[in-house]
Amino acid sequence: MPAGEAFTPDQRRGIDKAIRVAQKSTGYAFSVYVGAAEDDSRRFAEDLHDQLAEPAYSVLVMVDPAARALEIVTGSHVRRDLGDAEAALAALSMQAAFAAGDLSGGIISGVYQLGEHARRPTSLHTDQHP
Amino acid sequence: MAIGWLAVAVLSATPAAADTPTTWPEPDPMSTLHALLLFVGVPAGLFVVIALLVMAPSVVKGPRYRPGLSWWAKPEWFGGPAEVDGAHRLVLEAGHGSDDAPVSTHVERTGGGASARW
Repeated sequence: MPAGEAFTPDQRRGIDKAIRVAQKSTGYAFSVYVGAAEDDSRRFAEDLHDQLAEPAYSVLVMVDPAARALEIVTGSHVRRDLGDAEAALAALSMQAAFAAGDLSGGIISGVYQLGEHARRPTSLHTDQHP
Repeated sequence: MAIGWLAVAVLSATPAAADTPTTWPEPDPMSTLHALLLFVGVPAGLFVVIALLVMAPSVVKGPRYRPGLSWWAKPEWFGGPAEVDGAHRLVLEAGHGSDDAPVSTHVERTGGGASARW
């Protein structure tokens, strides 16, 4: 197939909005990479994660539609709020949407879910931000 | 009473007044071209119109992702490092590779995450 756009403008807006909402509610940076990964998709995703501005405070979702691989990489600080089990839960729901062919829907709901899980309980008496 | 009305209605019916026509109207003979247009052209035209109506939405929307088929689009990074304020998005070249991320710098990490395949 010829090279083209992966998403319609509506889907793009949806993904952007999900990322914005997740960032706003958690304070962590979320990013979504959709494209071909190398053979070792986990390492590729971790390399992408390293290229982000603040890897420790970032969540990277890597989707390789060709290889049907999904990787969620959380930074060391994010991991305190977003455990591996919670990431796996989000991965599971994304996986189900992808298997049904709904690429953008899976990404959007996955990012929302990650943001939901990564949200720290608001503390009313401390204003120290980690 | 009802039967009486029924009887009146049935008995008062008379045979239809119209005679059978002695000659059928003779239409002009149809040329072969005209017949072809009418009996082949119209169904074929309908076929084309319906096919276009069915195909139009997917042609407008462009190719769609289907699991198991090849992926055609360029890599795209939402919220990537080059993104400024969510307005611009880094669209990587197709050949994004390991050049800018040497393997030797890949030290052990304390982050976590999850993997899945579908």
